[in-house]
Amino acid sequence: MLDNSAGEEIVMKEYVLRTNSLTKSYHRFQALQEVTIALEPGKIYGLIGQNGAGKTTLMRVITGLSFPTSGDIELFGHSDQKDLKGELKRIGSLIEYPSFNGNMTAKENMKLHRIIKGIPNSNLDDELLELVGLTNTGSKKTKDYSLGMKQRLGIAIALLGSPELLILDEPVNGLDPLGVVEVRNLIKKMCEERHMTILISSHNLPELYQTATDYIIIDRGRIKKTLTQEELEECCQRHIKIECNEPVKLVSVLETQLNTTKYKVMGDKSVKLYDYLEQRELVTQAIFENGILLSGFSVEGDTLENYFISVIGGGQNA
Amino acid sequence: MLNLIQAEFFKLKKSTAFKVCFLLTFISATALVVISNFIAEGRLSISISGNASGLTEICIISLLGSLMAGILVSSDFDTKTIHSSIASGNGRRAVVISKMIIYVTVIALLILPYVIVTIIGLCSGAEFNKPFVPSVFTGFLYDVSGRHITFVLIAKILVLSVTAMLVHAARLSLCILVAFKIRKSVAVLAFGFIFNGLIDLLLGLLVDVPILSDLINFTPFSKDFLLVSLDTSAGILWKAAISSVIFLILIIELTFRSFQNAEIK
Repeated sequence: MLDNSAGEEIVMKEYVLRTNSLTKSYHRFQALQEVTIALEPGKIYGLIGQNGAGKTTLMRVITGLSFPTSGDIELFGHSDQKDLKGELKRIGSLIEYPSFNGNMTAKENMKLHRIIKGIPNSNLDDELLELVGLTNTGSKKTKDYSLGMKQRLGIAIALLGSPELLILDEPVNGLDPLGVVEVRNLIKKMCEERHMTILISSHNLPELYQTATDYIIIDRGRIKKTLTQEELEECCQRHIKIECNEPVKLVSVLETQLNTTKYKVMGDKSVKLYDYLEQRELVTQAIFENGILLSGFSVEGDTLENYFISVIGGGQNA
Repeated sequence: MLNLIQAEFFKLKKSTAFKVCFLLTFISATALVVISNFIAEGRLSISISGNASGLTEICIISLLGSLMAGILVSSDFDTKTIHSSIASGNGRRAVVISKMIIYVTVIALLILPYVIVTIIGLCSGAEFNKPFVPSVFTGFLYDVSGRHITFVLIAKILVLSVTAMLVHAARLSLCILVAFKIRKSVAVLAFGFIFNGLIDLLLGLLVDVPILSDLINFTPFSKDFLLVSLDTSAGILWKAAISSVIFLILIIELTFRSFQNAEIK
């Protein structure tokens, strides 16, 4: 915290990860375009996007598997290339599909990755396998595991070394409903107990909605929107959007004639009315009787999917 | 980097492919020594030598060494172990160096059965035939056959064997460069085996070109280095060892440069 010249306190926000105008091109194809995001500690960020939107590319660039064409990455306050390499030790990741050797058992795979990360504590292997529900797998080779078991092992490997930033690309892929719930609870637990920051991508929007605290919507390599859970809830709540020439008078009409305070005046002077959704004629009648000229009157806000589609460009992308 | 080297040894310990390759070299080495003895005792005709040429360390290491280069590097891309190494903050140079260290170790371990079987053969006092195929170890068997085995002689064979290991590792190190580039085991195997077969043929044709032949003599591809014998001078051994190490360092640098900015998919 710093003081400015007027004596006011300026809160310096601490970021786990920041990207600035990150661009990644493959010949003529731009996988990422001017991506600027900032992740704060202790939050679960849901990265939402269609196939080919750039989710995995962004994760690969962050973890050093791919290099940006332009733009900067700052990890735990460091942006120098040499420092970034060191800061990667504070990240755990599961990108695309889990990293494991099929001819080894779960425990042997854990040991291998623990050695790679330079972690001497061998008790960690059993602890993490238990955490993801992979105890009693014995001498079974991981190549014989089900997709769900492989995902769990991938998560356990990503958790080695208690990372401060966990990057998970579609972690619930292939998991049964119970597994999905377990992984969701595990992610939330990690975030709450260890103050871990988690960047998680998924196509499963309702699932993400139950896990994330913040959302980053990406489409065709561009960040379309970043919003908090509250903002998303608000955006998804169905409402009547009213645009008119006299918003003050409109608010007065809503309160006095329609007896409702379930509205919100937006920055662009439009009004979001969360009441009378099924009796819209009463609203238009009251507005008309008070001589207010309407420039817009529509029902907005819907399911998470519909909101996502509207953000990435409506029906064209649906 | 020590973590990565330790991880490589852990993987090698668990590798079925390596265990099979090691067993194959043991069988080949044993068969080569037995055939050499049988020919010397007249129990086998010298005409079998053509078929036995596939059992020599030159042929077997060229084949299995190329195969192991492909497996060591390509399987790490398949299992995403390399992804994990880099995403854990290990540098790409460290990844390449650790791979080369384990590769040189693998080549040494694959040659080890030839060393062991040759020493056992010599200690048995059996008679061995004049080398019927180009091979360092059949050469040892013939040269020492009938002589009194001393500690100095065994030590000399061990030193020559270590030099042979280094030369073979350096000659095959190009497979590591190719493996990092192509990332397909079969392609690396094909490259290694064909390259090793053709390079000696090609260099043999260039032996009359003055500057070029001098240059080749400073690489592990020099004919003097590949077939060392008890008569090889210490100077040649040093030259073979130093040029092999320099060649390995050069290949590490070239591999790093090609891998430095590569996409890891």
